[in-house]
Amino acid sequence: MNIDYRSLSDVALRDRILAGDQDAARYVFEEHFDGLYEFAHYRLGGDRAQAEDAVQDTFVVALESLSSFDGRSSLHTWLCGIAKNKIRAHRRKRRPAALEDVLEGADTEIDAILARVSNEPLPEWVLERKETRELVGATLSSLPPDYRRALVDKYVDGRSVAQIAANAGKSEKAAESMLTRARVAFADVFELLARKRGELP
Amino acid sequence: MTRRFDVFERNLALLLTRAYEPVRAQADFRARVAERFVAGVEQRARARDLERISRRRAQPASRGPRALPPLVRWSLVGVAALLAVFIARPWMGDEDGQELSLEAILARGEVASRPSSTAPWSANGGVDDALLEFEGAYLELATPAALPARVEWGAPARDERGRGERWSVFPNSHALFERRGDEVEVELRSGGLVARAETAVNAPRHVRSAQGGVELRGTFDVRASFEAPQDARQYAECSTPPAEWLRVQVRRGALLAAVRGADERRELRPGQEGFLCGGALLDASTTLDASQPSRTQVGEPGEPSETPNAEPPAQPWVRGVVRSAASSGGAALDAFEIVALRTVLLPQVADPVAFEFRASNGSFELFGAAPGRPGLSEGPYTLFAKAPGYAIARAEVALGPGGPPLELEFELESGARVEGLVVDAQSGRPIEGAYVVSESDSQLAVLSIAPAENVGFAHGVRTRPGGDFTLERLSRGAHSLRASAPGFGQAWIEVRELEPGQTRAGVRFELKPAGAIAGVVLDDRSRPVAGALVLASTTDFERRRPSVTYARVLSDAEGRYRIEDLGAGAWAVLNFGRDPGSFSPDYRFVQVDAGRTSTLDFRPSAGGLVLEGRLVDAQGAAVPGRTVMAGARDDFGGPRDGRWSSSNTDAQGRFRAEGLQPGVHELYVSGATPAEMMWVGRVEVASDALTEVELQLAGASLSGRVFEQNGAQPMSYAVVIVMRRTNGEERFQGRVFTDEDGNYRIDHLDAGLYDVIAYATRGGFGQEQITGLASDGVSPLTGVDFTLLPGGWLALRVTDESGAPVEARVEFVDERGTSVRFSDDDFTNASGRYSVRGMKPGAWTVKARAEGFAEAVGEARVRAGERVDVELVLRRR
Repeated sequence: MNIDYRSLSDVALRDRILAGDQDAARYVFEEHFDGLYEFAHYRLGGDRAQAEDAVQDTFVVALESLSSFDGRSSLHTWLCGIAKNKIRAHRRKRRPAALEDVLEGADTEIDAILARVSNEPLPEWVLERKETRELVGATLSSLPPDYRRALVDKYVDGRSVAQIAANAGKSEKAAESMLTRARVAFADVFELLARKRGELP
Repeated sequence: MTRRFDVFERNLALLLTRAYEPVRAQADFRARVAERFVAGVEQRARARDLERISRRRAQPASRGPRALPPLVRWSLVGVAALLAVFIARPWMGDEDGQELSLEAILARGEVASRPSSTAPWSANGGVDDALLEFEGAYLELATPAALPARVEWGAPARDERGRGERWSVFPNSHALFERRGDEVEVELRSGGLVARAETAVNAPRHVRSAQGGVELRGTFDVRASFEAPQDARQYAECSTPPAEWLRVQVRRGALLAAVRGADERRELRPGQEGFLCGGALLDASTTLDASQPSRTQVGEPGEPSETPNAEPPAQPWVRGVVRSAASSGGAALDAFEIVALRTVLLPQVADPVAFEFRASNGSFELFGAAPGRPGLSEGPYTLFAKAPGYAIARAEVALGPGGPPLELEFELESGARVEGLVVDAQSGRPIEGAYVVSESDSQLAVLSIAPAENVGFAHGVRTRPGGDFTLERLSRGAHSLRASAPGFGQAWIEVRELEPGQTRAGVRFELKPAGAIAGVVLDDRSRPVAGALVLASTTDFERRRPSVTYARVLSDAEGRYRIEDLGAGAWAVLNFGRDPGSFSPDYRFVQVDAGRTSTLDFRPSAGGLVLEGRLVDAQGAAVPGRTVMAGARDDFGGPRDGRWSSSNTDAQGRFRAEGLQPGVHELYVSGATPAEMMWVGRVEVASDALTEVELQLAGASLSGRVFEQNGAQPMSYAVVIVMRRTNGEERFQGRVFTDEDGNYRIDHLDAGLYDVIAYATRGGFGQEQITGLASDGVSPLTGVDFTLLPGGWLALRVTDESGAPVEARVEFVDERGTSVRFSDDDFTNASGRYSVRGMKPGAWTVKARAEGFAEAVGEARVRAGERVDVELVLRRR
């Protein structure tokens, strides 16, 4: 029997995994692994070993305590909560460089341009810079998962609002509204990070 | 600045299509985690299947019922009491969505927060502090007495050089963070905070209070707290009592505050402070010493002060140096951690507190707690020094204010290494991902089965795919190692004295299938209780394990709970209800068998009988605040069904024990601490009526001291157990602990013959007993002293004639012919081995029995600090 795991609620997935359904476990892993890794990467100063530790521990804890997941939050939020605890533990232990340090090396000119992302067209050369890529990644990793996914679906994968709505199980109107909120959130965080990195007023 | 959405939309599309590179994990790492996660699902399901099969077969345990020796049983009572107090500590981990009252969260020692003024409070665990992310428009938080909180928003604002913006809220404080556009307003309702920004903030920050507010711009390091000036007379009059004034101090940058009667605001500069009252600044005449050194402290180790009290302690309590051992170069270490674990008597449990030091050239200082700020308190401590690449070092110290600082020198050694294997005892297959931890090198008195709960304070590793592990940097001395894995019960191995540089190989853990405890939690009206905290714990005081092992779960919406991965043996199970901070736990004892689920329901008393009574002293006056415990007489054969009921006495000394079954019950009352208990009587609970009883604390006392070695050194925290002999049988009379001077006292003895047993809860000491003490029930028995001697190590191996190992029941008989049991499972393991640490020196007779074989008997001479090997060969009948 083929099961469409995408149609299952998080609680139903939990129950299947607890019953030993390895395909359900694989589906949950595929759905959440990349997001969690990115989440940890930027919060642990880009330290690969620490990010791997945090993500691995997150899945170990998730497996151990899955029965306590009660569906009041999304599974992603629940997993991020575990990851946050792991990240905090790592921070306490080793004090990695903060986000600003990871992104250091940019010149103020780039940051000044990026900080005006809402107001002025971006010059072509800025798009090619490593500093810009890092800022985009850090910004996305700071957004709620549904915002992040909506933006990636829309702009990276080129999906239509109708497809985004279908993927997210929302009406088109709700998906459009979510996209709008996601754009504003992206702009806020992106500008904030650019200003902080460039030590701009 | 107005946002142009058309421009932004275009830029956003460009950024995400041209400048977005998803961060991806390495493929092999991804595959490894996926494999473990997916395989773990199957492994856990298999363990549950095994348990279901066992249940269907309903086979009796292969070894038949085992009666626990009294020492083990009563040790577990102590564990239950211990954990009742322990629960008040902040848990490391989330309760994930539990709705608790503000008071309950604070009582648990956690930080409470909520995203709106009407939202339920949630708990934020923490070890040194709690980190809260201010993501939305509103964040309200309240801190408990011993834990500060940090608030961050936007990108992570914390780094080694202190750049970025950080707000720290003191313990015992209440604050609201609100975002208004780019500006942030913080309302301080009680307590205090420190705000720091080392790079200029983009919009003003406002700190408001009932007494007025200040504005912060640019870079700043400002402290605000409700407290009175040392001399309030130098300030302008204000109708509010000085203790309610808001004190603001500037270390860096500036703040602006309104001044009474003036249109313009006054600016306070670095080194200045002022007091706000009635909405305005009263004065700013006092100058701080801006050059005073920053100090290292809880929550922000290695960094300038962020939590309460700007005044540095006048004198450190401890001043020390950490360097590598001479054999490793003897250099002062730059980066290390000092963990302080307060030594307390049961049932108290202290949390470890970590202090990190960086670039300190080996030196460190520890300070006492100041009002409102966590820190060291007066009393005995174990201090641990830790540094990457070195074994942990420890020192037992007594700390307190006054006098010169205690000078300490830690020399960290390279440590020893233990290599071994963890396998499935049934199949012999290696277990990957098992967790092996040295309890001896962990800085916790209670150690969770879940590694996640011990993070930062446990010394453990996980096994590799081949089930092998290497535990490095173990400190000098003996170690108690514990192995656990999902689906398997825990196992312990005692490793003999280790020397730095030494490698001990071949340590082999054989894990048996786990047992589980499951049941339902119902309230007084038989309604399921969701979110009740149920905790199972076990220890073995006689093996002197450094830690108590526990596991905990929350009940689901139907009130059901299930605690898995428990090793075979006796467990104390405690139900703390939904509100652990204020709930007096209900506890029972359960025998867990491998591969089986033991059922334990916490049901209301409906259907059970009630025992009501009053506790009075010898003069008839009410005795409040004690715990009265009633245990069914049948239970004294073993705690398998755990029929116990307890109740605290009120101001009139009244108590009410519920849920009892008809029959004779032994009654005990708690002593100086809940872990101490003494027999006070026996009552038959009738099946058709409320039973009432008056218990009088009368009778004789028995007291003495416990010393170690040559009698010169009193032994604190030793356990003294009294058994009463009646018609050849023994009844548990009571158990107490020695105080810091080794004194103990047991009350309420009636006329009869008593045996007294003393044993240490630490070190490798053997137990001692004095038998046949006669009491007339009136005259005190004094001077019943014990001297505990260092014990030896007996390693037993039982084989058949072919040399194959045999799982045999073993028995140990001392020189006086007394059969002594050392654990609740007196069987050799699958390798035919059984070992006893801390065995009293002297001649012992060792016996082994197994079905189909004749009994084998051997003799052993145990010497202090030495290992003696005993080989017994069983011959077939």
